[in-house]
Amino acid sequence: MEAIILKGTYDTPDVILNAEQGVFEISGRSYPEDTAEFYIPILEWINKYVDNPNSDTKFTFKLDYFNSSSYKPFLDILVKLGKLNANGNSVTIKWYYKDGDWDIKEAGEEFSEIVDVPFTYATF
Amino acid sequence: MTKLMGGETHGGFISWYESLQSNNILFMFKGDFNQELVNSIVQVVSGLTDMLEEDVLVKNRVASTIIECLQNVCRHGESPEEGSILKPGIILLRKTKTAYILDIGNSLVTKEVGALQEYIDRLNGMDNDELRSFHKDVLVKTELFGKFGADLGLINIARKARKGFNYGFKEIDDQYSFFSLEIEISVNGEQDKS
Repeated sequence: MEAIILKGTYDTPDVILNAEQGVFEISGRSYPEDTAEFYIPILEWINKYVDNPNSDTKFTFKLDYFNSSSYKPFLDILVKLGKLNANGNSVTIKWYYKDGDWDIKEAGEEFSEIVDVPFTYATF
Repeated sequence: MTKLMGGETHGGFISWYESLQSNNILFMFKGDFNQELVNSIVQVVSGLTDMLEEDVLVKNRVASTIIECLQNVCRHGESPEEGSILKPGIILLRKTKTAYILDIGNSLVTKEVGALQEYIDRLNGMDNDELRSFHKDVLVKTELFGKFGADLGLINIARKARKGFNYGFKEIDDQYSFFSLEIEISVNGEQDKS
């Protein structure tokens, strides 16, 4: 499966989706002008990955901040990844936040209340 | 005594500067908004909050509130000039001892005022826990890339503002109104959190 590697800009995050190397990470800032245009290819990639996943997936979110329009694609990613656990594979979300940024930490906690995927938290 | 070299107009500029100083204005811009400008403004304001050595929570609240508000202007603002696709607006950021105060203004179609006012009043009536659970409800119900993004945006802003919004509407002509929103972000972020 071909990897997605996007270099972040001022308003879009760094994205690495590399099944072969087992690296799945969204980091930086996310408030694109056109959220759909940015996230549709990422969601399509995740859809394909979920059909043919690694046995263990660790997906990292490491964000400085993100806007309200980014919440829904993030939730969509998490819902899709949640299917892995149900299918006998394991998935963990590594949710990073800057030390002291309780808003970002709380955003992770809220996602974890909606989806059935284990979260671990760490600062960066 | 003010020594004037450029006549009355320039004298007006000096008193305007004095007024900006006495109101602790950190940043202001009036013009037509787009995403590139939002990026530049966030960059400038982040530089200011860095310089003022704010903690990460306050810095990110200021930056993300500005992003949310200005992207709303970019998406939902309307120019009263016929046929114009521009998104005119104004942003003013000032600082008191205890808070950053952000004022955002833009024009919109008057017939949208009622619903917006009702929504803001509803958010103003909620405490932090109610806002948190309302945010979750709206997030789950929102369609992916659907039209409810702005609702989620205002809830996010309300959660960072804590004290609720001040807002105002003023009719510009028979079709358009000027909408202004004031958001206060406490510099004691951690304290608010507990």
